[in-house]
Amino acid sequence: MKSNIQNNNYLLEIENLKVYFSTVLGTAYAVDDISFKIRRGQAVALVGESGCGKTVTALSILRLLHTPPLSHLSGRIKFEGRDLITLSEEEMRRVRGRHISMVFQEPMSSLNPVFRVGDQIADVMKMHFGMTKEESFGKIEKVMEWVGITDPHMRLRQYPYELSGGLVQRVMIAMAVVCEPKLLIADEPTTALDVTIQAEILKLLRRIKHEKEMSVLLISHDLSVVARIAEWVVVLYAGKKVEEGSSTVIYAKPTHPYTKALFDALPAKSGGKKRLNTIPGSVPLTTEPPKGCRFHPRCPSAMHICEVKEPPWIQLSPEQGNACWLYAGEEIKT
Amino acid sequence: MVWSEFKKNKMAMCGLVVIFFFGFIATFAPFIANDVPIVMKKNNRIYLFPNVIKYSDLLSENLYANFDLWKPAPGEWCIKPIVPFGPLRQNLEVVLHPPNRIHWLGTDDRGRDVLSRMIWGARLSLSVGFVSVGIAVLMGIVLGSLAGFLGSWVDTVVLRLIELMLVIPTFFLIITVMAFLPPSVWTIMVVIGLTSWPGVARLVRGEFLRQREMEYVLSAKVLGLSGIRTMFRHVLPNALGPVYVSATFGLAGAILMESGLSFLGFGAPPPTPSWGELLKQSQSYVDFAWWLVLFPGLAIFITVTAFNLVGEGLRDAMDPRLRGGR
Amino acid sequence: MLRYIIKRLLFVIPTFLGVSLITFALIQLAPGSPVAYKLRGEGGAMRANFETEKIIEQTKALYGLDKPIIVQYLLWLRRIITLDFGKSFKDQRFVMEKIWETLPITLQFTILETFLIYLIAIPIGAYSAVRSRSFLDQLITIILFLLYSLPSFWVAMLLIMFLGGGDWWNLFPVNGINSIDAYAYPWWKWLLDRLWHIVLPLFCMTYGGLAGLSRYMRTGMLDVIKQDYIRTARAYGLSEKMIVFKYAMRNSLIPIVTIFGGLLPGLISGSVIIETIFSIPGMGRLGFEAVLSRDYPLIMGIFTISTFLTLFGLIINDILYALVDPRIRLE
Repeated sequence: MKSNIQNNNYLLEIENLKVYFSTVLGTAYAVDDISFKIRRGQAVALVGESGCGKTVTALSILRLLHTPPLSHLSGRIKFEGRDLITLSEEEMRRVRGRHISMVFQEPMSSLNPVFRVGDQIADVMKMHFGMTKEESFGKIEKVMEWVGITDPHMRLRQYPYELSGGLVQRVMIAMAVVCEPKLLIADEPTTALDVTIQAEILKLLRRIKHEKEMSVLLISHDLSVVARIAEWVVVLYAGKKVEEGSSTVIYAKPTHPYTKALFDALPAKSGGKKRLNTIPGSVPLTTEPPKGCRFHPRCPSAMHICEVKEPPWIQLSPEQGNACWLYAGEEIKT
Repeated sequence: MVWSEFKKNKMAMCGLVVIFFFGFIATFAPFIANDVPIVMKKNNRIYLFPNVIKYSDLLSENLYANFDLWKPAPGEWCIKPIVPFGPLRQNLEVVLHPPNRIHWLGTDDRGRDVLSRMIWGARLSLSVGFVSVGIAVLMGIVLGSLAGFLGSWVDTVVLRLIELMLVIPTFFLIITVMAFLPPSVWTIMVVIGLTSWPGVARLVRGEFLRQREMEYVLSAKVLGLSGIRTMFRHVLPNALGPVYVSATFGLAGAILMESGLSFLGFGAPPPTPSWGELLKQSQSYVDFAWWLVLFPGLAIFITVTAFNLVGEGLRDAMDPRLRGGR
Repeated sequence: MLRYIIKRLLFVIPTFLGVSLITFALIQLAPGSPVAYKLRGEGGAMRANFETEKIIEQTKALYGLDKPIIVQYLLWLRRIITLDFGKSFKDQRFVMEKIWETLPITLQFTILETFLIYLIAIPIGAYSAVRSRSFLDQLITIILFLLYSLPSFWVAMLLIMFLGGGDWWNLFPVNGINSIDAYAYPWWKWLLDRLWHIVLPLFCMTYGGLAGLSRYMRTGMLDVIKQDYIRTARAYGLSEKMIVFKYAMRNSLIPIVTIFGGLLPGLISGSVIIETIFSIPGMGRLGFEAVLSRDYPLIMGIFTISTFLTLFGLIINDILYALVDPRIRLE
């Protein structure tokens, strides 16, 4: 009984997710056995350099990847107890935008340039609630006002190219919350925007979490962005989860060498005078992942075992865990 | 790089083989279809290649005009080409014969061998294609690079010209010009060339505009290389890739255009053999002379298809991103 | 919107002047002009062949070829603007009168062709793109490719041979656009008769443009389907029907509409051959006959008018463009 209630606290549970693509270079193990959970009303961040599998994870939650190039999709994506992987395409369509919505990195290209923004949102309402354009426009105006768009009545009737990038991203967020979904996936929502607008959009995402009580899955390479929103952080590297924990713990005491390196690369940590720290090398192609720990070629504290054997998951505390041989044996007993 | 990509494209390779085949036939037409022998012995002398070399003593015997009637006397012999009929040789006894063992593809309304005329017609089609596209490419490169390089009013003028050429119904312009000028193969080549340069010009101009701001051009400027030299040594070679593609499609278009003109009777003056002209003849005998319709048309169709296939293959090989699209 | 149209109309003026210059250059090639005189040399073989003294005198008088060149050009410009191309050498009837008789027939074909091309090419191209790499898509792609390279006059001859009498089937008439006694038919029978007559020529004039446009549509649609906004539409649960028919279609139509003007010169050029083969009394055949008999006033008239037609098509094109793409309207 107790475990049941515990379960209900989780809105999304991803277990052993594997997503492979067939490419000209061979099979790419883009996401290789990743698990994590999101509680209701919680903000979780997926962190890592580009090419780590963050966006692929997000797209596979919405089942937006197609065969080809997708060659393998397995594991479980339990959303409110239902496994999204087993849903039919039509059932999945009813989940998209209605229960889970997504905001993309490039706001300008994410909206169709030849339709008015209001019409595009109205199409979503029509699809999920069967509302006519006239019925939905009132609601859309309210939501647009809520996300901080002044004069929504006029903006509604404008085309995307008539708006600024920040404004279009607000429109996208309005579209994302208009059906009041339970989970909002935000894929690098601020990367393409100016710094001042970035802060406003992040503030808006926090408001969504608090006022609408939505869960947020934030995808970012930028730990300073993550810190402002997320309560829980999942660090990915080359398709693998390398560290996970509550953001207070991870920000105070990162354990995995990759997480540490990410923190070292932050301008704030590097200090004004010093050069920015960088992580040598780049994320390996997931078509030929390194043997053993995938991070070992770039790892400053790599040991012999790292090159031959994949590290197991080590739960350091209820609030933190990693996959690194340095911490083998420090596991807490549960 | 381009070639290794191109080789993977089976259809394009087929097209290339077909083009080489037709090119071979066109080049060696005198050795393939002729009533003049390749080697012959006469007057106690061996004549090598009388089909391409005019021997004065054979001329004096008036043999060239009547080779079809010449029978080797004892002690004399000759080796004739596979198709032992000249393209112009009329034989009123075999007018409009359907394909048979002697005339493999039949005869036309003057008893000329259709196969022979088609083999010689390949010469005309391909040479018109290559010369007119050569003219078009040359014009296109000159006008396009001038426009892209000099910019300002030159660019405006060239752009207006291109726009103008796109408005004009080319085929009608060509037959109009043909009406004003004395008919000849050269007129056709020049006129087709003069009307088909805009595509190339647009490509070259675009490439020049794109590359003008690129780093290596700027650095060449900083190094003090003269503008024109930079443009032609560094920019033009980069622009040539798409030009090759466009020229290949242009060849298909020019061959189609030539056969269309010949079909209407505005082509090379008679009795020059050409595929379009054979089709034109068939108009009068369309109720039965199927061989006059089928074979020349097939030749045009296959050649045009081959050039289009090669063009597509080239384009895909140069820009793999475009693969599968038009 | 209105400003945009006016702007586009102003852009037509230089093209119009260009057309006048090209046609004027053509006149300089006509017999009797000093240029042609120099080009061919006096008493050349060609003169003896087809240029009788009478024709030379007529062209000289018609275009004022003995006047200074600038006067000649202004005279010609006035002729173009007033659509006064003089009288045909052949039967002394006014050129424009002959053109007005034949133009409706050619226009009828051109409009039908354009309509058919768009009506068929858009769904074929869209289907091919949406089901890209399926068996049917590959089959369609091959067929379109072959159609694209198929010379229309050959197809016309084959159709006439196999379907138009002769030693094979006799299913379609291959001469003219109506039976001889069609004027006496009731309207529905007249219409059927007309349709029956134009099936073959219409097919020959249509398939080439159809193949080209379908391929264009397929490429465009493939390109659109890859765009971010289509992914957004999917991510928000829009149905596949809505995504294809509303979101992807509208964007793919933009390039398709913009080549409408580009189709016209090809269609008008094509009408020369096909109208001649099927004895259709349209402007194309009139042009062919004019060229054959070296009826210079008629040639110049038809050439100018057909260029104006494409120019007109381009203007319609620009207006359509503005209608489908809101970004243009704002310029």
